[in-house]
Amino acid sequence: MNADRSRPSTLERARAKLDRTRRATQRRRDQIETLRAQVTILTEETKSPIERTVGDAPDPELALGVPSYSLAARMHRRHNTRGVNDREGLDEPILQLYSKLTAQRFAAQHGVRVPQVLGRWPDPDTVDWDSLPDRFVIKSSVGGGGVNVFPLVRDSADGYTDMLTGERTTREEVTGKLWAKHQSRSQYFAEEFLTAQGAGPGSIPSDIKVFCFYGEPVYLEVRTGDWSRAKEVTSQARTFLADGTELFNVRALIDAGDQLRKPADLDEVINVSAKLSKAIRRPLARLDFYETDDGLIFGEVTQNPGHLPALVPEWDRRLGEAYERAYARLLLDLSAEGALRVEFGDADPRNTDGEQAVTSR
Amino acid sequence: MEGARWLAPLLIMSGTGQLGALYHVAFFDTDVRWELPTRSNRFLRWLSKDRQQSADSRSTVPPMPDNELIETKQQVTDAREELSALDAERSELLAERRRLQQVLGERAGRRTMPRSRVEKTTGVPSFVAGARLFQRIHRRAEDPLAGLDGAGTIFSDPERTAQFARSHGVPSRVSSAPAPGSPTIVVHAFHGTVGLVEIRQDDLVRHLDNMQQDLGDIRAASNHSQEIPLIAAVAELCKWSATLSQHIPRPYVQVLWHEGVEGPVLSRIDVDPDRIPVLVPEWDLRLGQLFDSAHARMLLQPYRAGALDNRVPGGTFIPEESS
Repeated sequence: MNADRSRPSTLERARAKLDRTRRATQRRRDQIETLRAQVTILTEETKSPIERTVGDAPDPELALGVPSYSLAARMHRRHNTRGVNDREGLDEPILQLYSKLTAQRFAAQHGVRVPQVLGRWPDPDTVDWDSLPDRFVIKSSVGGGGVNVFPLVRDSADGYTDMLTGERTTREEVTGKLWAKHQSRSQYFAEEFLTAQGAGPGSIPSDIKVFCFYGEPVYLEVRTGDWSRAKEVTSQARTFLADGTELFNVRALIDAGDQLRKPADLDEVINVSAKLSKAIRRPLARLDFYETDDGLIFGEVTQNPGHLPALVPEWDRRLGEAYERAYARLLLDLSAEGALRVEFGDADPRNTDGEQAVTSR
Repeated sequence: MEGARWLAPLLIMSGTGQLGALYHVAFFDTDVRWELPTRSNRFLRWLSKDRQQSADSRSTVPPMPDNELIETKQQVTDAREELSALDAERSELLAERRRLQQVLGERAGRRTMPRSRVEKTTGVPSFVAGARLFQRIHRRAEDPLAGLDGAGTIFSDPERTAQFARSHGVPSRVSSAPAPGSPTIVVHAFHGTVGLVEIRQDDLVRHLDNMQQDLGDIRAASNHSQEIPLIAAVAELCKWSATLSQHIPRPYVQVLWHEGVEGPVLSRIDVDPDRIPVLVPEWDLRLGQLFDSAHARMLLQPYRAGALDNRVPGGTFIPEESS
């Protein structure tokens, strides 16, 4: 051996070491960025709504506060899930779209492609399994989080592979699981098995979840693993703005997914979301779609997501602004239609001395 | 040892005994190696090879400064230092994250709050958060003082305010000018329900609930005083304020009164108050619950008119699945 051969070897080792160290450093930087975002979000979460609103204003009673998506969205969810609206007799029309079939009919009336329904049944025992093709998805019309969704591929005479969990299953087992979550308003239906765009048969398309603000889609996530039944699957998400800009470490409590694809036709996702959400008279709604070989297909309307995004403060404020813009547009529309106005009573307004007590309407 | 160009003592840890490591001292050179009964032979072979190369190198070419190698080694050192600093920062952040999860967990009666659970919360009602939210929304109107529903325009006009009050059978005069020294009564009304009554006199303030019970000092920013006399008509003021607020499409308004010679006088209805009481948490929560309900009641007007119905081309969506 001589120096000419030995020198590159030492140098190469040093370079390799440098390369490894730099990669480790980059990984650590990424981890720290995520951790910082998580700590920021959690710090906000420890604050009361009043603290989040008035901040450190010199006179808290004069602080107008800043928009917050988190506070606003939680208010709407609270109103629905804690019986506030029920007690007051308000049955928000968006709740009509809770049923997947109804929501699909709503979307179809707007000209949006929906999955083909292969059959409908009143209860799990009446499902006509023999009439179904080798691949289909069986669902309950109500329920979220994928708990009542069974994408099945037949692999034997009476056996199926549950493509959500990858496990083998049978008609009886699926029927039992559907009964376990049965509600009085549940209906059961089978629909075509959608496959992810550009992927093979049996591939489940990622969900595209668009957070809409009364005609303005602002923020969307491509998500997978968001299945309540597939506990071992980690939920992953990629986040984009309506213009396609990808956001990182914005919803930092959810694992980011580097295997997920950006929507191929974002313009269509945004156009369809804008159209549907403008038709839902509520300042916020989430619309879910699938991108398949047959194009964009509507999934469902989610009124009150089980997980409302907890965002870093900058984006909590930005989405809060979108929410407030949306509510302002809605109130303006309602006002223009005469459906939101100061109501004068029918007591005699001509009396100006204020002494005549009259009956209010 | 003839021919030995390099000799070194080497400490090799060869034992895993519980009483401590057993060390061998090994002497070897590039030509002769003593095989040691240890599992470190592979390491020794590597070291021997490396020494051979070094020895050959010395014998043929004098050592040359290798700037690239030196620079690379320095970069490695720098990168390791940075990595070490980042590791320390990561540890701090992990500890802080854990602490915050414990804080959130304790509030929920758990040891810690898993990250996946944080987004499941529905939060808690808050008067200040709700009232300010709606103010910000209405201030997006072309005329921010009017608001999106025009209520601000109506109630900035004393005559129209008087018409409104009388139209709902409120038998009170309307005058924006209270007598000097006269207390001002601010009724905090939530679309048909009164949550708080504030009696102001000079710099002092007293708070009552909707049953006219004194609440004590519940507001940090004000000078509380129980010396301010109660007003006989406060129950009526509450009733009238509730009635008036029920017909204003806002979840929260302030109805201000003062005492006149002939009884209570409506000073004004403020749909966009600059000052909103920041109360102790218990009362912010209580009034927040009233705000939540008031928000639902406010929407009943458009709801009953069908204005919240989902739309489809050509009309409203009919939800029956059989259609």
